[in-house]
Amino acid sequence: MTSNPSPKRHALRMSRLLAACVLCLAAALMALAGCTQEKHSEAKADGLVLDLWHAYRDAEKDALEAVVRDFMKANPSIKVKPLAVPDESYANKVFTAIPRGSGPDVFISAHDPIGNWADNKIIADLTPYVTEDELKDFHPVTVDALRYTLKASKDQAEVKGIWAIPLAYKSAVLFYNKDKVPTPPATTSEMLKILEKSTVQSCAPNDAGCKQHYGLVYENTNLFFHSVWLNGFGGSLFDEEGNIRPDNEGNAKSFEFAKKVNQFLPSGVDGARIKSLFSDGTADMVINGPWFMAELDRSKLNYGVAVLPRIDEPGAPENAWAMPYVTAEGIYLARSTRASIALEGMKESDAGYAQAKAAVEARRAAAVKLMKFIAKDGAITRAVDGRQMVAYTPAYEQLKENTNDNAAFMREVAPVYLAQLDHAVPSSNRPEMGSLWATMQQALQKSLFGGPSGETPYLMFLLLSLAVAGFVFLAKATNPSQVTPERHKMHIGATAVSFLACIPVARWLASVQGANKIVDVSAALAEAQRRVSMLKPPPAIEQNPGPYICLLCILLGVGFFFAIRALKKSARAENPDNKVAIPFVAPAVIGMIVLVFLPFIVGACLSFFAYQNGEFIFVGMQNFQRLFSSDQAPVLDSMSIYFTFVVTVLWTMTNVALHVGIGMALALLLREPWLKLKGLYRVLLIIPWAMPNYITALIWRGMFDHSFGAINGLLQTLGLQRVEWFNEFLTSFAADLTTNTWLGFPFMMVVTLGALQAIPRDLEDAAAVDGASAWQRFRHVTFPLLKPALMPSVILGSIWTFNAFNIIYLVSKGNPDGSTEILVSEAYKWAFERQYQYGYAAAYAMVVFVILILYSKLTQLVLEDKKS
Amino acid sequence: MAQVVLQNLVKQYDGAEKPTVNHISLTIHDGEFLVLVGPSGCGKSTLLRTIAGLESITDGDLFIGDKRVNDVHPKDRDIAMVFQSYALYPHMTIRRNMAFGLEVRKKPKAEIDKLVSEASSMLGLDEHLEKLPKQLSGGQRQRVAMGRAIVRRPKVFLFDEPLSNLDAALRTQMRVEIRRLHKQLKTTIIYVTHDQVEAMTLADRIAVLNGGHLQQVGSPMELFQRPCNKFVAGFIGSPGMNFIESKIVLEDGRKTVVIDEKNKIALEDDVARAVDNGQNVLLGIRPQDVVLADEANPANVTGVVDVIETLGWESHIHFKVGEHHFLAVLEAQKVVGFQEGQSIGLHVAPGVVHLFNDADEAIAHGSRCAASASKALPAQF
Repeated sequence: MTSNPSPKRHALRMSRLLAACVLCLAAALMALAGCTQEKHSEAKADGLVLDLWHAYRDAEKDALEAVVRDFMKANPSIKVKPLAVPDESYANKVFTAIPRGSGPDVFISAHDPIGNWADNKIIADLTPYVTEDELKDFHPVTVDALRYTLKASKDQAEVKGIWAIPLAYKSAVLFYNKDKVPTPPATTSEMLKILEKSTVQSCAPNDAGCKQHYGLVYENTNLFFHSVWLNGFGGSLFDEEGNIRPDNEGNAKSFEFAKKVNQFLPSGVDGARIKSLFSDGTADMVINGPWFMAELDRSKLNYGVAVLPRIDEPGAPENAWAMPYVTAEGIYLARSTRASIALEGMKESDAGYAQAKAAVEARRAAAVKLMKFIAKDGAITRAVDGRQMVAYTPAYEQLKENTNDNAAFMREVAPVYLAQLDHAVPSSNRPEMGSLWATMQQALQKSLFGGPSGETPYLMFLLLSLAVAGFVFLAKATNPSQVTPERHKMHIGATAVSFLACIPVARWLASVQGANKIVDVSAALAEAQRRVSMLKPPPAIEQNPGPYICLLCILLGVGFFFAIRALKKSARAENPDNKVAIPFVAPAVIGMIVLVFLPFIVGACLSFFAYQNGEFIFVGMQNFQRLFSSDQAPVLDSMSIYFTFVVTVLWTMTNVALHVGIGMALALLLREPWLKLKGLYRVLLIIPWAMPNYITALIWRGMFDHSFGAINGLLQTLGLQRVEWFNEFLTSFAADLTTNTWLGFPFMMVVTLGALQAIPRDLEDAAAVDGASAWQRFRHVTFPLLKPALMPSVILGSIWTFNAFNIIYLVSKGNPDGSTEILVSEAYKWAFERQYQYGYAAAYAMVVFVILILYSKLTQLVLEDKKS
Repeated sequence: MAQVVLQNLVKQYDGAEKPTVNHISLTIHDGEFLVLVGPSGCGKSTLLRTIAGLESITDGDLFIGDKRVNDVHPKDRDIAMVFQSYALYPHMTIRRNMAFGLEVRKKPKAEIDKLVSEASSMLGLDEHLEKLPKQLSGGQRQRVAMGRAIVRRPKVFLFDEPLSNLDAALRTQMRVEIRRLHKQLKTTIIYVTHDQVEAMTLADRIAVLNGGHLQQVGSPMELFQRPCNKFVAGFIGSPGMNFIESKIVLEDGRKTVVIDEKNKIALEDDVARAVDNGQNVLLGIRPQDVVLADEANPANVTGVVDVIETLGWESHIHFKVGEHHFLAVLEAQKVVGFQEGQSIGLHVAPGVVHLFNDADEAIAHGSRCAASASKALPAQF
């Protein structure tokens, strides 16, 4: 005992060591935090540092940075740090960062989120800083786009504000290949004639001389490009009083015309595809915005830009022109910064208040100075080097004197864009626009390609019950010790009937899919109208949190009581001296609390709030009520949580069944003694798992592309029809399923391989000698023994699949019409794509959580039941 | 019931340099209890698995009954096998374990029940039928494994070291049960073991294997008394035979095997005829064949006591005879008072002497070895 320290002392030393480690870590973190803090203050001492956010790339980015450098040269006391934020997350980032003081001082964005940002106190009204006189120098269409009236609320009066200084505008024009189309069409009938003459949609496989060719390509399901016709035919998203009213005559006419044009277009094209089609001469004309010029190589392609044609269709208004939406790009002033938030927390009587206030004002003045500089002084640089269609009109005069090569090009195209502005409409900047935009695109998609028919939900319920029956059968069939031969026969009978039942289902499916194709334009628009009202958040009714807090306290009390009792019990049952364990589990517990429990509690609390006008309002159970009452949507509509739930369950079951089935089959195959090169196959089969899954998802998305995807290419080579994968529920679901199966089977294969190692070969030999065939050996011996090892992975796999957000979001994107959406992806949409309904999305997440808890509890019960 | 015939059977695994089972020809008669014995790695288990159909046959023929079964699936060979690990299905009850072979053959339920209850009462498993294997003891599991084989009434039983996972007492008991079972069922049994006690007690005939070659086939006594070569002589019998390098010398007109100057054993005439004067031989003497010298049996070997191991009823005395180590098993009573270092006169009767030539083959006394035993000759001769 003298030579060995006692275990207790040893443990004490260990715990001291651990405590020291934790302290060191904490100290390091604090030092790190201190460093960043210091950096900030250091910079402050030097002078003012302004953060500028933008989403520019390439030439636009370089031009902006050049302008910023010029500004800093002119104002040495102000330092500007431009930061390029990726376009995809830009709006969300701005939305979340600014109210927390971690956002920019100044940022650049298109005008469409203005309503949202103004309502939610993200951006500041510029009326105090910019005079109307100053605004006269900018093109009036762009200035109009940046005006928005903030409605009166309880803490402020109505504000008719200007929310940004215009920088540039972007509108669609017609790009044409001068070698193929010498003069651009002046009217739509001329355009249609060109399309009829030159479009070759598809070639027979053995026709060598034939080549796919398109008279025109554009993203015809994107509302930005469809607006060309929508506005042209007198359509609008709002009525005279400003109410949302998508189901009007002009919109219907524009949809009909889009259908007419659609027969000459490749479907499902995106920006990159359009670029390659136009660049290699496959497409003669493109409707696209000014950014397209940066993507084209003028030395290789002789192209021109032209104003979009006049509309001379029967039924169109007199003297109608194709009128694209204009997007005005402006530079915005953030409403809050770190300093301004700190100031709000101070009282006027506080020491240093005046100083802090002066600092905030100085900062704001510097920011406005920068904004004006970029908008006006920097206009010529942005136009010449950044190839922007700038809003500052005097810049076009300066352009005439510029001798730069780029300037010559701009001199050529700028008049076209300016002329197009005469036939253009700024898109609305109201907050409803986000969800309205998506809804209109869905209606457009449906009108062009059809959508899920009314039978889809019934079909899904039928599939679901079949799947459940199959699962029950499998569970029973693979558990032979509990099945008598009579019941076994019954099961076989039941499965046979289920399979027979599939035949009429399959036939019905075929007829339903046929019906899918025909979607009436007015029906699609009427549905859009209904949808929009569903997406709009209802006015939040503030509730008294008192009863909830009482309930919460009672629950916490009860929970605490049980926790203490359980702790005491375990303390009595086990070694009472378990303090030693605390430092060992502490890091994991802290990690769990910070990374899991806290976010969970925040999420749970959030589900009782509504987010409106930048504030969280306590609404009690209103979110859940809205959720479960399906909020005006019929239960069988793809917007209802019940529909989405059924899809999610179907999604999970089919996926897990395929993962386990394929994984197990491959694992069994890999164990066969006659198979050569096993190691190689094993590595190859694990690769899908090793790849980041969003990359795989994007690859599959590309392969399912209608016109250019590998899968349709293969179908065509085999002499089959191309399939519009994402326009019908079943095919779209199948595409998601394929992708996720590809991603999921390796895991099950690895688990099965591992579990197989634990099964003695003797058992299968014994069964073989006993007279069992290969199938009997698998069914009676191997599978029952694999089951205990597989069960946890199946549960885990189900939970992963249940929450497989990436796949849905990236592959089918919920198409058609949100019907392939699962609960988590739907929750995401409510949170970030439908006016930031955080509370409602949190309620969704809570429902997902409860479902998964119930599921794992249920499987646990089933397993324990089996064991006993 | 049927006989099993192996003709030049070869099993060579993919990538292996040498065959694991090398040209073995052997006939196991109908109803015979044949034990395959040999050191580990000798190919006996592989041979058994080849007979079961769990390993493919590389060359040669295998007949069960009159049917050539080289390419017949195990399930169609009508054999039953008991594994060393018992290989009971852990998720099935004892009843289902025993019934499984009948169920997959789609036997009527009534018949299955009858056969299972017959077998279970024969093996004393009646009260355990509804239990799971993990609830039984080792011996009981062993019995279930046998029961599973019995219920099917196969033509041939194969046992793969079935007792090696049991403790010594249980092993003795099960040995007797297996013997009794064979008497009752009269089915052909092929039994693999590395334990020569099992082999000696159970077998009608023993086949000794070494390095994939069949060494000798014969009744236990034949193998014990007349081993065909040094390997069999050394392998059968416990403790093992003493081997001493010696020379044949003519002394007093009689051929005598000479260890050294002091230790010489005169040979019997029939043995003497088979050896030449001056020939180098390997002398083999079983420890049990040595007696203490007395008036009737004069000492012809003198050993110096090295180590004494007393077992109670007998003692193992390790002697030094010249340079050689020499073990004698003597009655414990007679060796009381022996001291280490003491010189003792021993008598080895001429009749118990085994002689082996340069090729380790037995001279005169031995039986003929199996055809494939000689490593010097090409295997097919």
